[in-house]
Amino acid sequence: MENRFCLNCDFIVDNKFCPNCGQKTDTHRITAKHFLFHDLLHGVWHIEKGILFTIKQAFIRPGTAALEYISGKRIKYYNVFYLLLLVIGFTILVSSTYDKLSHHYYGTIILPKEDQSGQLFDQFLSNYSKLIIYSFVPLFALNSFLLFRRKKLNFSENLIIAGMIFLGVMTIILMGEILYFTDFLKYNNLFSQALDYLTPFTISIYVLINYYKIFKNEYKTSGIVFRILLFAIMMSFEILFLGLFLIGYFTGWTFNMK
Amino acid sequence: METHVCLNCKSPIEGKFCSNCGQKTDTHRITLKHFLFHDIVHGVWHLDKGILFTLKQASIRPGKAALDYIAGKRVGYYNIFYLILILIGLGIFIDSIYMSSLGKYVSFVEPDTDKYDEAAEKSYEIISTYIKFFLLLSIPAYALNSYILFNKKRLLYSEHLIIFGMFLTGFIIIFLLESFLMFAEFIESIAFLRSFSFYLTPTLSLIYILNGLYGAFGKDYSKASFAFRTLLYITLFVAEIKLASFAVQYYLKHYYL
Repeated sequence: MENRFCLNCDFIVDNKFCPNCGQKTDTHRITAKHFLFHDLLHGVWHIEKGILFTIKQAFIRPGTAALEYISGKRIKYYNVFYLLLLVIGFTILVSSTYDKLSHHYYGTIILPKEDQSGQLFDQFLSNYSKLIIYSFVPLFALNSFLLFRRKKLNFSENLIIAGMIFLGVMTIILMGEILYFTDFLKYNNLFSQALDYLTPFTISIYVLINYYKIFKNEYKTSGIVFRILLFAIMMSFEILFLGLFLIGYFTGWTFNMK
Repeated sequence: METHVCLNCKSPIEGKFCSNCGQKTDTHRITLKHFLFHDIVHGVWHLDKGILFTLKQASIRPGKAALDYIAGKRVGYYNIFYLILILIGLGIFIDSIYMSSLGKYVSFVEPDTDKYDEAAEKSYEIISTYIKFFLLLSIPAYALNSYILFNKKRLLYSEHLIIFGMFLTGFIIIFLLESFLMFAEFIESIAFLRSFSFYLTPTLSLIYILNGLYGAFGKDYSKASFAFRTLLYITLFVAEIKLASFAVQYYLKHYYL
């Protein structure tokens, strides 16, 4: 602390933040270091320590983190929904790098000739992948809102939980995509094949365990196990319906896609 | 203010912000309204009232606003460099609408076909492709000009970066106005506004930079000295733009075409 009055609003300050306008009390001259780190890194690319903290929390203890955020401990957390966008963007970058490399190492893979609707469907999936991934968040939230009423969380608070869980899911997907590069190692490509099963398996376990942890205190053991099972069944059916709806839409409701 | 202890760090609070961790003291349950406005609109698209305030300040009193920011009045301002990126994005969007309108509607303005130069045309294309890069590059270059010419305040180079960032925000606002005026050429009765905009942009830019420089450095020098330095600044400004476009054209002629 250097200043006795807030440089922004002239309020008397005696701690790390001005209680009137919220500006930091250690505000100092704009040096080259401050310019690079605060104005460019933080301001333009929004890179700050909250990102790593939030990703770590979402990966290790998403339930506790979401409940903490909901109860009002918010300042340390980076906005979960923006972070989701960043992680999705990064994952797309990693997988497109993989595609380029595999094109380079294995040459062009000639795909079987697809009909129009199959191509349209693939194009839709890759163009709107962000939107599709995002649409899972309200689905998660709706299911937990309907199933776990005893905690008395409103729908928006369930959205925060879903966002945090989904951030963990995207982190797992990202790590899977990165590990998939072992595909190019000569004697190690069994590992990348195992990943095809390992990633979805880890994601399911991660989602179910964390929903269990968040709501376990509100229910008896049998009650929570039943609800978690129901949650898994509801999610699978919803994903199935979403998939069927998209396929139906692209085949003109004939569901005939070769 | 509803609670007496900060929900984030438990230290006692009395104003609008926790003096220990900076969290707002009116933190409440996450309702649908809070979710939509805070978590989505503010968090994902970064839209907040700081944008409008900063745009207003950058248009009317850029010099004074930059000095305020440098002196420490920072909390009301949106990050200028991010704002510049957003405005450039908006400009590119408006131009692409204009381009697609050109194909669809009849223009009531005579096209000037007489001076066609392949290199100039190509360089225009390159510059408009990398416009973000060129505009951002102009900030360190022009900050150096004002660092050399107007340094009675002993401001650091990084502080001159903020000042030119504020000026550039204003310039881009003027360019955006011009982009909007371009659409007048599709409406016969106001098509003359299109040619009018060719004179409007330089005039507005000149008035704007004079106002900005005077706000930032006007009180530091005598009238004659300020006038001389401003003249030098504007000469350098124009010369550097010309130099940059010549450099691009030279590069294109010898290494590209």
